[in-house]
Amino acid sequence: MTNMKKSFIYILSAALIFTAFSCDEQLELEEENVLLPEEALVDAEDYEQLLNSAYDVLRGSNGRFLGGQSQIFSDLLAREIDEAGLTGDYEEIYRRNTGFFNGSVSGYYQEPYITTFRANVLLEEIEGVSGVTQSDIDRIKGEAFFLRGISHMDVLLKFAQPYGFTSDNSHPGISIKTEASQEVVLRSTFQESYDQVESDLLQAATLLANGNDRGFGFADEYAAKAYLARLYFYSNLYDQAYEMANDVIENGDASLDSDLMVRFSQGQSDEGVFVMPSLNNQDHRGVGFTNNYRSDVNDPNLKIDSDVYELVASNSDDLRYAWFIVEEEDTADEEIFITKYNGLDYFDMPLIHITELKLIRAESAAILNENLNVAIQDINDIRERAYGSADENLEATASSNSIIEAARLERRIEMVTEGAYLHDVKRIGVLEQSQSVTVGGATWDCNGLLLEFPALETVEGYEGNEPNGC
Amino acid sequence: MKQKFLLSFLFLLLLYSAHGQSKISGVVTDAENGEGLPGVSISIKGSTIGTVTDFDGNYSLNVSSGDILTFSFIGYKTQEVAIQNQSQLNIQLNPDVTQLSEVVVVGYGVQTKREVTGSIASVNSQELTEIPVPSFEAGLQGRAAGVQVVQGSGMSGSGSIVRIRGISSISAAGDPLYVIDGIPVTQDQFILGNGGSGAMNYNPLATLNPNDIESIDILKDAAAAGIYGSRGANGVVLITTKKGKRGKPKFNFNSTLGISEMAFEPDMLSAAEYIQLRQEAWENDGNTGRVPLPDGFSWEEALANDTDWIDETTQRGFNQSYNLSGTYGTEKFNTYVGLSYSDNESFLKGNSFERMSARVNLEYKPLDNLSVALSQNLSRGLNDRVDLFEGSLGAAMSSANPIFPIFDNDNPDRTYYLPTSADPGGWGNPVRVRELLDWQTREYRSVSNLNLVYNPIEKLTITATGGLDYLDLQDDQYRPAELINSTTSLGNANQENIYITNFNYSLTAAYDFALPNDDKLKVLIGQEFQRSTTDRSLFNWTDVSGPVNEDFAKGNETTLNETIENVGKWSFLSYFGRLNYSLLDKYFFQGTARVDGSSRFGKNNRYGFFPSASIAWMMSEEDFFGNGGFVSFLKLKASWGLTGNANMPDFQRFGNFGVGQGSLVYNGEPTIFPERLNNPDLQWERTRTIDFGIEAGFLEDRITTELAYYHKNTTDVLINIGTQPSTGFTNFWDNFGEIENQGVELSLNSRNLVGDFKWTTTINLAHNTNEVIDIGGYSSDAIGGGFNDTRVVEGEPVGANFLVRFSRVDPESGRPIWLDKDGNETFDFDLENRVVVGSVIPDLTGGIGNKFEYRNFDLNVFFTFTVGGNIYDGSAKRQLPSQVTVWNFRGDIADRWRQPGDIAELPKLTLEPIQGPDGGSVWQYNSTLFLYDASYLRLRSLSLGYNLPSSISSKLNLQNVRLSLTGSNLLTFTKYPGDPEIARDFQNAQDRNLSPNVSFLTPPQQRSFTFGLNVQF
Repeated sequence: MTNMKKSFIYILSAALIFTAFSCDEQLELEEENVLLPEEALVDAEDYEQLLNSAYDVLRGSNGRFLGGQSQIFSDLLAREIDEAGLTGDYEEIYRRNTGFFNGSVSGYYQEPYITTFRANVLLEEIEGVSGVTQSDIDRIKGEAFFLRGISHMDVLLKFAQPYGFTSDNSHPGISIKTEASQEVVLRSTFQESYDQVESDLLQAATLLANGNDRGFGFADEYAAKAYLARLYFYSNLYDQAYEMANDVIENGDASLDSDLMVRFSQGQSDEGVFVMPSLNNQDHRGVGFTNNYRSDVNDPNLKIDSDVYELVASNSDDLRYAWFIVEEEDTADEEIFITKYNGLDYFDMPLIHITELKLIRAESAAILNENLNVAIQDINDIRERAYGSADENLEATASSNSIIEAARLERRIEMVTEGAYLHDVKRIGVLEQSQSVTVGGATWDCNGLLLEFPALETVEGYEGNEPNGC
Repeated sequence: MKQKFLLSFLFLLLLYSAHGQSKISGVVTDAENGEGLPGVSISIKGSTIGTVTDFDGNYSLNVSSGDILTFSFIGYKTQEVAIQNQSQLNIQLNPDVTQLSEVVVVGYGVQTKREVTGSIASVNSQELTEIPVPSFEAGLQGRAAGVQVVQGSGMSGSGSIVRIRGISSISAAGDPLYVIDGIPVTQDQFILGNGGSGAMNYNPLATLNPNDIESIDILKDAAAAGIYGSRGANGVVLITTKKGKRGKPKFNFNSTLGISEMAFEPDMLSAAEYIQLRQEAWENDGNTGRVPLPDGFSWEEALANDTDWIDETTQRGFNQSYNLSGTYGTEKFNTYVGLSYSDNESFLKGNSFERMSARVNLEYKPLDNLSVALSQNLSRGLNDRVDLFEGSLGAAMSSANPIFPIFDNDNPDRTYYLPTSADPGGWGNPVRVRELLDWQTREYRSVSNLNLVYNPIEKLTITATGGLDYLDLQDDQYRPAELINSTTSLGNANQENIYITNFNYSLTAAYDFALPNDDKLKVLIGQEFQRSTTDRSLFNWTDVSGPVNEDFAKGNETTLNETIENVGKWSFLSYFGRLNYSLLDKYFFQGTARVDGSSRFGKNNRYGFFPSASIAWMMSEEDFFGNGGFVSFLKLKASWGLTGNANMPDFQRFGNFGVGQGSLVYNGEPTIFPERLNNPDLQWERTRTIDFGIEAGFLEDRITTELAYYHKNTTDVLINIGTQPSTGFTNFWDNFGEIENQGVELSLNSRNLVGDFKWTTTINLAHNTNEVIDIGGYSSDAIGGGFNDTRVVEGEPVGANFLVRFSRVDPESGRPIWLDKDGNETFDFDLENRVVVGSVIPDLTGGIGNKFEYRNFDLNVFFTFTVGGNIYDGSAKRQLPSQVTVWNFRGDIADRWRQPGDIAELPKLTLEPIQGPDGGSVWQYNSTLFLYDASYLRLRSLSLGYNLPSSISSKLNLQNVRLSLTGSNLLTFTKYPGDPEIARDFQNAQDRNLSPNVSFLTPPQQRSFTFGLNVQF
């Protein structure tokens, strides 16, 4: 037994030696060349950089958010884009039967929510960061509200039936994220979604009322109001649409370009109310447009539908004819290319501009049958630029209906490839409550005109759109 | 303290001497060869007094008349001798050839099979090296019950999927832990990224020379694998290399020469057949006249081209291997030296794997109580790669259309033809890619192991082990101007360098307590530390004239475009213990415990505790059982234990922020952004295993068998979950989910005939059921099978086939009819209608071997099989399409609808896209139309051997000469129209867990014919 005891002592001694040589620090291995959260967000400058990154995502990787993809989706659904040459994901969207495995849609879908997550971090934490002035807190929060608002809004337009689809807007909206959390959410109603977007943009306008000294490329009060104008306009809320558009046009810095060809240019346009600046090729914010539409180097991936082209070609004086190239015209192989994005490897990307706001103001006024002189002037400003003369101007006594008709025509032409037409038709469908309002052969309210949520979004209890190929 | 101990010991000796003792001495030798046996335990029965023999087998001990001396040694039959008055006693011990005396490696030690309480399967070197395989682990197939091996394809150096008792992991690697001579070695299959790298995952196990392996022991249950704690849940494969043996120098020369070809040759259509089908589709669509052909070829041109791309991309490969090894040993020094060279061409043109290796295992005993062992393995693997998809068989089975020529017909310089309508682009001419792409992967590997065993006092053994596994991998690719279609650049070179330094040390102390009545208590405690560091760098040069290889100066001719470096690190710090108690040599108890800490675990779960307990009962040695008779031994075993799996990517417990570079800035302003969120709770998977086993021998061990039942419940499963995109993130690692495996295994070895004509049968069978109990409410698409179309669905096995069901072809229109979720027929192909239609997991796997020996001849016939489970052919949707594309068709497209009224297996052909109104693009056209029964029976090997009569070999001064002829994969019986053994390239570990048996242009296994020569001298 004595030996056994001694042996135990040996073993215990050995065990102690083992323990003495061990060291918990050996397990503290950290990844090199990355920032840990506690190192990343410390001071005001860090939060400014986080805010910059939220702006950066607006383009989306390779343009898959507002850098082109979002607008292309709308134009595919509206069939403003021709079917010729479409394959894969784009073909599926064009056929209005988007599946939940559509890679282009799922690629798009995550981007607005990345912006939203970053905006939510800013909203939750900025007031606790030492050394930030109240005015900077207000500005940063204003920008965060703006970014969250326009991100949710873009998703809402593509994944939900429009405002007024149901009388109380109880139809499904989208996933609304107002906290920087990983919690699973289901679709809010449209009204809840709309309210959140409106609230965010109104708060942005208020908080940014003192201006944004960061200048070009960053949101200010008028950027928020411009988006509010668009929101109200697509919601048939023309009073507010007029008010907001008017405020931006009258009080903001942006003004209508006199040159038709510079809206998508490098530093030559004054129209942009909110613009993503491009500094170089790699930084190109409109890369989704260039990759799909640019036609001066190779034939583009996407061709334009002849309907919209005919609207321009029917008037030989329309200078916007230069926006189109037609190959093998009037043959079975006819292809129409857009030239708006030609000639530049990169350009500043206006996401909302005075042309759109003038046409919002004009149509809103006409529908309200108020301020018709302002509306007529807005239409005529657009037309004089388009025709290089006053020949196509509306009469000073033009009726509200003729103003409405002119505004809708000009919107479709002026904003060709900018993704507006689909939402105009839906808006008009709600306004007229008519099944005869159609877009590319589909009634305005068919489910095929919605995108389908990506498979991963549709957790248990999540209601999908089930596009029906209408 | 030692001095005191010795003094006490001397005092005791004196006491014994005073009671009429006398000294007895002698030598213990091996009865078969007469050589002295060192380390034989000699004890006086009924006391704790004893000694051990020295290196020559000598011993001496004080005894009293009437004492009974017990001589015992592992691997030999124990002898008891009554002492009269003799002073000299020489003993010859006979080797114990019974099943129970076999020694198995158990991790940090060895045990006899009698003592083993867990479930361990052993495979010896002869079984392992019987047929040529791309990598040693493939040789385990069918050799051990419960060890499922899906061999990688016939590509050179490809790895196999090894699953021990089912799959209990989802995102963490489900492979067993590989330990070579005590070192957990680098085994990551994704060193070179995912399968996009030439459609083959790199296999770091391929550089180990199978001829250096003495045995492989596979720890299957928690009692056996529990000593490996958080790394044992998927089983442990312990590899023991050959060691030096005492005696004169002995040498072994072994050489094989052989050929390899496809075990199954894909049947693709000729140009005329393709055109005929395309025309049929054209007419089905209501068109008339000749159908336009891809790339605008006229029919006449296309028929003239008529390229057989299968022929152009495959060959009969030549294989050769040469192994020379030697052993030599003295009292103090043993050595094993092995040299090896092999060069194996696969059946893919341009693909071969050359391996050179050298191993030295030295053991030196400077003191009676100290031994030092050094093991060093150096190897070099050189893999001449082909890009399976763009440059080899994958293209030949898909986008390389037979109407495309190899060379441009219009160009007298015989430049390669570049198809314009190949889908994906670049796949249209695999000969062009193969000949122009220069691609080599070179690996240098050094595995070193230093082992010190010290006995400071009797029965206390302290073992210190240090190991270093260093891997230097260089992957070089060069694409000349013609391949990249450049007129301005000479070519592009890429190089990836990977250095993995993996070191570990362990320190153990073991003590054997001698108890009365031959009872034994062994206690082992230990500590281990391991760290692995992976340095990775990527280089890219443009405008260079050839591969950069190791000549960086060449790369400096031009601009180095890109350098990406990153470092991966992980470490484990562990404490463990094992207690073995044997009562009356027939009741055995074992308890193990291990505490593991890992750099991969979150700060809230830094250390895990993994206990196990087990018991075994030699029932046949009870008095009531009697002696002899039909049952020669019967042993019952039961165990419970908790093991874990921590094989996940590094650093996932940390959140991190990215810093904007390149395009990730806004308006020139800097950015930072969250890329991953913290998870301080991240930890290991937990597998609780219950195991019951029966080992039995019949007819004096002519028949031995083992039957086992197990139940494994895995919780906290590591899942890289695809999150709702509205969270702002795509995925994260977390512990949730539960998986259950249970099964039965049977292994049987029967010496059917003994005598001049010997016949031995070996059977291994395993049945496993697998069920996902819980995945935390996530959708079936949140955990996908990577490249493949399998899913994790609650209530179903891991790797469920989740597909739209095909019902039939409409006889009138020829359109496919599907089933919706409720089983109603519909023309609409809708991915919403996917349901679980089975899984890739088989119901039964196993192997049956028969060995016949007559005089100097022996014949081995070895079959492997699986029953049940599915194969999903992901490429069939393009090879057997209803939509005709540029892809060539498979030969079995014959049974298709052609005219109204046809009852056909396959729908009509059309050139119209099947996307749109029918939903989904052609790439998502996954349905049960392409789901097959995975059952197969395969003649894995047939080997005829002849040993030269010793009368002849001795005249040649040789000990033994053996000639053999071996064929592998000679026959396969299956309903699947391809090779039924499928382990394709995988995207990640999750894909590998979920999607064995999912094929996408996967090459078949190789069929080989090999001549072997083995000379011992």
